[in-house]
Amino acid sequence: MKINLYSSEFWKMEKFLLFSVIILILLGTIAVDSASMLPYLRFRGGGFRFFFKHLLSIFAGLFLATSVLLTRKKFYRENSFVVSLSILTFILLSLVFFFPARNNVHRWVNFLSISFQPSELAKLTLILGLSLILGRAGTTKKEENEAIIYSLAITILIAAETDFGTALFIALISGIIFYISGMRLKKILGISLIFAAGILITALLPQASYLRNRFFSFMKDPRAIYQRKQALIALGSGGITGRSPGESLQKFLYLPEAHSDFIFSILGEEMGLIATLTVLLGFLAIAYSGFKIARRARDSKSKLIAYGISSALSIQALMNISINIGIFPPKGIPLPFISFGGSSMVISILMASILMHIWIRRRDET
Amino acid sequence: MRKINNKDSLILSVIFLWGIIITVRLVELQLFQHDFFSKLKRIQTRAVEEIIPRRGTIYDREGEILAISIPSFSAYVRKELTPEELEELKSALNLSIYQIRSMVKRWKKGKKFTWIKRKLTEKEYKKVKALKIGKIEFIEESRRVYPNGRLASHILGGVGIDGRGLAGIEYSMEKTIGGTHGKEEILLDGLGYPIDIKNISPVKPGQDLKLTIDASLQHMVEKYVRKRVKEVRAKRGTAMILNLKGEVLAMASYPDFDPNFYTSTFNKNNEAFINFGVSLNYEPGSTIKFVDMASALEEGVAKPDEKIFCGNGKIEISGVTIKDHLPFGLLSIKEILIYSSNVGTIKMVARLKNEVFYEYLKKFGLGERTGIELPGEAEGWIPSPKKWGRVTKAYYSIGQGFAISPIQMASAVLSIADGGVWRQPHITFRSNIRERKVISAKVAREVRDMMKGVVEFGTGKKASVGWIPVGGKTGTPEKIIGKSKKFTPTFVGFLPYRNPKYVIVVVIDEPKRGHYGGDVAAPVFREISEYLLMKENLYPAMVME
Repeated sequence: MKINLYSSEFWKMEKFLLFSVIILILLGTIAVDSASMLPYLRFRGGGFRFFFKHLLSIFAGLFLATSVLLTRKKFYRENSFVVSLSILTFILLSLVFFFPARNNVHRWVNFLSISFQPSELAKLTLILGLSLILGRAGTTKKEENEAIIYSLAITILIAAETDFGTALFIALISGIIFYISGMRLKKILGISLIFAAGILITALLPQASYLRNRFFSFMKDPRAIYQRKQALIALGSGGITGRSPGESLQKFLYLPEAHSDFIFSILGEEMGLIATLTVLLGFLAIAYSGFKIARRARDSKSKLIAYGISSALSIQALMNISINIGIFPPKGIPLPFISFGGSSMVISILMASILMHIWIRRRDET
Repeated sequence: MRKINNKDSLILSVIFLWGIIITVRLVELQLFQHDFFSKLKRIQTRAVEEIIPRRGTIYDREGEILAISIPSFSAYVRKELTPEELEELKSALNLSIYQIRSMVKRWKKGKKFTWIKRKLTEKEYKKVKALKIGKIEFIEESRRVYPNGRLASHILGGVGIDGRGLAGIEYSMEKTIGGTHGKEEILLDGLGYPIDIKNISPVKPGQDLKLTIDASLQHMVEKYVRKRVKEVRAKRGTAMILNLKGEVLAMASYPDFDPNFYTSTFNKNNEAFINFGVSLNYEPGSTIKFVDMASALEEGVAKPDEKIFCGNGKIEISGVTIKDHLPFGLLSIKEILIYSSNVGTIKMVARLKNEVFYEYLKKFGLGERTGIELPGEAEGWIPSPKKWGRVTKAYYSIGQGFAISPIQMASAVLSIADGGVWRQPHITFRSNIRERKVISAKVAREVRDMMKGVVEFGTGKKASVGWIPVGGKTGTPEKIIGKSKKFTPTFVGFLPYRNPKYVIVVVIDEPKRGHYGGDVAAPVFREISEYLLMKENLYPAMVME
């Protein structure tokens, strides 16, 4: 296989997507650098560890992205690739329970000092898997049911980690892919109802009091209320232009998870409305260009993948921002490209590169 | 797969609609509620703290420490304590239920920083340390200590928990001793630890202060007053020594208090906290007669040897009869003072015009504040002659019907002892002392001579020191409270008779045993004088020239 970096085709990237991702990563780098300084100084000791880790995951992501873009083959719609990825994901999702819990939840797999969050990988696997099942010409009911079971399996595994935020997100993305793939609305609503009923019944089981507590904790948990208030103070006090980068006060142990799930608030505090609207516009641009790429894609598998990825990236961002601005309860959902967290960063960049690959290779037959 | 058609536009619209909702909310938060949230942030991140400077040390005239600030620890928490921990603390520090309640109240309000107890003593500090509650932290603050306990309590006063003077010299000289309190703004992190400290106003340490008090004299004077007040079961008593420069060497009031525990024991209804010597008025009674003599002699309306008929010990003025305790018959002016004849005094003062007599009272510093550096000085009460009735002057001449404070009386005695010059009493070493010529040195000498007679032959024999002559005057003012009659026996004097150096005033209020100034107050004068003379090495050979 010949790789020609100088071919004009390679450089025909989707500009909106490219610039949005670059701007978001840059903003995130600044914010994470600022927000992680303190927790790290006080509790971990040593230099710029968080910042270096963040940079490291960006480079890892960019390395993967370059590899993807340099590949001619549309591996993401190959049976063999998606099946093996699915198997890997299911194994990792199950392995999670054998590793020690952090903050009372099982979300991480540790391997050679690298800790990885399989639920992040599951987002990509879900999109690729569903697109593979539903993207074939002439989908039958049997295949639809397969897809439903596939997504339910991932959702339940993630919910079992007591990561309800991600589980809900997975369900939402599945629903969108079902809908776009042409599944009847009635069926989707029916599954949603059954799904909701399932949650309710599980929650009502006497053995599930721990789950119930965790699920409903956001309503009365003083820590969640405190976190929401601190996020609002961070955003509100930022005003239009903010306190200038690095000058956040809320990062000084007022706002928990300032460098990860609540990085958006720190961004708003340091750089104001200008930065927050830029981030929002960036994700809307990703959604817009992603949908454009999906429309231009020739085969339906690529189409579904493009729809899945662009809505996954943008909806995850919207959910995270909604949590930050206090209209959603706080659930652990990172902000793609910006939050500190290696798994999320690598997977987000990988998703964007697949999207870009679909765009660049939209005229290829294979 | 079926047709994908335009289904995607629905999804995209939902995403953009969501984006619009977020935009609206962001604009609301960051534009319209900016001030509100900025204020919330300021409240939680900023604390203005006062920096209390180290107070100056207070010394007596010999350099002995009367009050000093020593470093001590204050205990505080940044996190709530559990009820069990509170219970342990309560028993370790003897905290009251109110202190516990106010701590809990603060926590309920969401305030993190709470004092447990400030300025712990060494013992308390060890006790709290022994509890081993990790949440309790300590900060160094200086604690005011009065190493001599109750000594000079009324002069020294006391300081509050914030280190500001609340009474006595600590209060009145706050600007000098207290220094300048600084202020700093502290930027706090989420756990209450400081991130950054900004100085708003700088702190300046207090200056040391030297008092004119002599600690050993003060101690003895306090001892004699306390002893006498207890002996005669009086309500209160005071005694003071001034030298002729107007410097207060000792000033004792009983009952007294311990300034180390000023804040915890202070009660505004408690008499112990009142400095009788400066802050209370009393009627001077017969002690005022030396002022009468001085005015009459200075005005030339009487001579020391001139005889006045004192009749059968009674005088009637406008229907009011004033009595002597004995019918004296014919007495010289000098004898009138020596035997303290009311009749003779009234007859002599009658020769002075009202205004002139009033003028002399004022000149001797009576009925107006001396301006001594102690807070709460009483003004006294002497109405002007316009308000006088027919018997007013007669009553005033025997020290009844008006009020002065003991320190005013001391300043009046000082002018006699010092050759007719009135000097402002003071308790710190300062240069701008008010002074004025009241009477001529000759008249002053004549009055001193009469006052020597009082101790030698007259009512004040019990004040006599023995080895050197002293001068003085007794007084037994009556207090009519309802139907009961009470007395304020008093004795004022100076010593030595030749070349006077010291002035002593003793006032004992409402004794239950005895009531004559010569019986109740004069012995205190003698005790103080004897100690003073010994201490200052004033033996007969030296004072007799």
